Amino acid sequence: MADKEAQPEGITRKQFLIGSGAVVVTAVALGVAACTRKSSTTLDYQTTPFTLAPVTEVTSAGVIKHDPVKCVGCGTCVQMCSTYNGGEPGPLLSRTELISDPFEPQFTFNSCQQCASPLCYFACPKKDVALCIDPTTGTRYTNEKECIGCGKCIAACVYRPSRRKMNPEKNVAINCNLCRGRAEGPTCVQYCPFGALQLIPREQR
Amino acid sequence: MAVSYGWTGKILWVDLSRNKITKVATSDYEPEKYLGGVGLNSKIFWKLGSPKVDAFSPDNPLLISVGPLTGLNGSVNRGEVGGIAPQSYPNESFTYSGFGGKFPSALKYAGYDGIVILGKSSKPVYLLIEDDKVSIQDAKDVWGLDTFETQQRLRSAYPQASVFTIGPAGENLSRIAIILNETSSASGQGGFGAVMGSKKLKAIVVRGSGSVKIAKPDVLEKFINDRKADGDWKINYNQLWARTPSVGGAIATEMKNYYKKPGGCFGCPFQCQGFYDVPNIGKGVQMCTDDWYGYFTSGNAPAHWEGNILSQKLGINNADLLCLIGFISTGIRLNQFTRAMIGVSSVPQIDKPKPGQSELDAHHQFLTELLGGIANGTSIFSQGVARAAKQLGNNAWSTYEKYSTGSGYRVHHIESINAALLWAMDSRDPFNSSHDTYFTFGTSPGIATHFGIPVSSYIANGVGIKNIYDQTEIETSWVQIHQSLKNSLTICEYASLPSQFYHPPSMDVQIFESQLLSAVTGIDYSVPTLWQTGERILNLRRTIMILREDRTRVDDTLNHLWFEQKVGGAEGLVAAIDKTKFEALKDRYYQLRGWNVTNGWPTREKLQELGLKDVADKLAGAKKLG
Repeated sequence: MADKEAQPEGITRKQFLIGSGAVVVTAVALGVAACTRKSSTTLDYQTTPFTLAPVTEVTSAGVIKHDPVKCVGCGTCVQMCSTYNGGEPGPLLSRTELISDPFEPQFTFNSCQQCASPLCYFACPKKDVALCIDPTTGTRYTNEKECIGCGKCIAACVYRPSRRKMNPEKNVAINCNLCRGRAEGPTCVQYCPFGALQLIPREQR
Repeated sequence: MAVSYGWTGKILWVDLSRNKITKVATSDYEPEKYLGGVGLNSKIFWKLGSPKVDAFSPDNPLLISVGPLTGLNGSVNRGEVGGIAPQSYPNESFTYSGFGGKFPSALKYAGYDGIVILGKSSKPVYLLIEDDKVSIQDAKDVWGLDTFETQQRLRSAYPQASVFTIGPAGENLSRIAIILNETSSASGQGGFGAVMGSKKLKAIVVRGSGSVKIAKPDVLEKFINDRKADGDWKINYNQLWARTPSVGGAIATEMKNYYKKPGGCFGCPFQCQGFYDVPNIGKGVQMCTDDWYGYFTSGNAPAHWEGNILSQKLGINNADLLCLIGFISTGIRLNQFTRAMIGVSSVPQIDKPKPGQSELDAHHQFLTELLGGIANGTSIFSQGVARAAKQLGNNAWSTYEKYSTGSGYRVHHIESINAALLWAMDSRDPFNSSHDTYFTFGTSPGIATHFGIPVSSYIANGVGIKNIYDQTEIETSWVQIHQSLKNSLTICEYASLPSQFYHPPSMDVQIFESQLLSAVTGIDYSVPTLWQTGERILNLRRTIMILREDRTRVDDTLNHLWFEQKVGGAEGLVAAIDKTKFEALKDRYYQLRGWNVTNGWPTREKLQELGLKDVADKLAGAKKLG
């Protein structure tokens, strides 16, 4: 969590500390067991060691920024995300989440923050095969053909709720991959009727 | 026919008397022929035998349906409540009541095309739907709470759930009780909140995580892009009016200070409602009839807002309240009834505030007494304004008739003869879904001509110019079929006006609906097929009215006053209806519909053309085939 870009915006200090703690635990685990075992799909996350790459070696990525003032909570983002990425509109297939309260005109948009130090990536037992980083754009994404659905990346995410989630039908972990490969860019940004979503390029983070 | 796309394929069937929950196949109700919403509700009611029971009987089904388009991006996230309505007057009738908000899409994502609620629980309960997991829960902790508190309480137990709930008015069987989700998205007209209350069902809590299967997602995205490119996928004059208080004047000016942002139904890019936060009174969204009290506060914005927030919280139908203050003020002034008889100590519209009491306090006291009484069942108006006026005596009744249409619903947009015929033919106020005539055909002759409609009801600046009878049946027929489709697809009234998506000849609202439905369901709905679907739904509803309520031609009318004098104020006609011309218009209307002119009953020929042979057989058995 050394990079300030990786620090979650708008989360509580307590949540932030949980995130920081994850790094500490990781580092300790590394010191004890880094060379003793290779990652295994049968072990649970708590006991499975993994390699923590230096932050500077991970390519940075863009991110979707939500403007809570402009957002009116219409849900177009969630519908378009799930339609593009899952073929059907609906919450489970959406990689983003909209939290609303009928009694307050305030809305929270949760999506993968494409962290500078992506703990999900380091937690993946098939790192660079299942959970990958696009060499050109830096986007953290899942290669669904290779993902084994172990859920370690979901648990490793510093955010609460985790910005990675399971697609139970396919048994793969999914995240906002900025609609990787989509010529028009992220579909939620394109279709938000209120201009509340913006793609921040990695150079500007 | 089994359906693979659009519909989820399941209807939730809840028997509260037996505490039993089952799931039935939507395909049993021919969704491809009845779509969803009003169409599906009507088909379910028909298959239940159109029961001749009272609104509060355990055998009156409370039907809640969404449509094949619900859950998609667009103005298509609406639901319809149906069943025997306690508000209808003089007889309870089978009718419909639409609503938006977040509940319809949540229900669809949970995997259901509709819910059928039968029976009656022995104690207060709520229905909990979490995708496949459905249960009946004890509601003792929320029974008695208002609609806002109920949502807050249940949402704290089930985060991010959508809650469709009744308030105290529904619990105490007020005939003008609503079912609400969010702060103003309600099934209002009809009084279905009391049906829910009679079943001791406080709320339906839904958390849906699933999705809607679409036959051609690529076609759908291109479709949306094309509409965006034509400027159709953003709010325009057809919806924009709804964000600010319709009452206008000083209230609209002051309410600007309290405006926070747009609000509306899930998935809708228009978000036509306005979210307001008035200090010391409350927060919520508003549109249209939520202004009911503002018309009677002499520009007092906080009092206007309290009228809205309090009726939403207690769960009372704003649309019926709209005629109440005028009725009360006139009735008391003319000594037709007293303040005590209607359970209020003073009426701010005719009484000065008490010494030391501010104008706002006087409104507060009045609203609390009046609405509180309606909600707890002690007010005479708890049974709705029509039944209360009857009970208050002949003089009060004659006052009420000026606000009434005859069916238990207050005057609403009867500015043209076409509108009068729409009212005469329906089982409730048709102007939740008939604004085509008022917003478009009445004001834009070019668009009317495009759809083959003679300029039969010309309205300028929202006011009827003259009563036109010639060829009016053509417009009425068109608007009614479109109304059936809107309420069954389900698509928003203001997002499907004929002036919307209007880029002839390649695109118009008929082409829009036919292409959208085809891309989603994978079934080819050409414009004629779609239109026939709307006509089929209309004929089934008509048949239910005929069999269940003995409806005949003589019932297709307004109250006698409309034929004697100018009624309805700004929302009424310029002159009394000419009875002879109106009856001649009805002749032409029945002929156009393929119904018998003598009794207004559908003919076998028409029903069979619509694929309704079984309906024709049933009518023949009851000796009511036209």
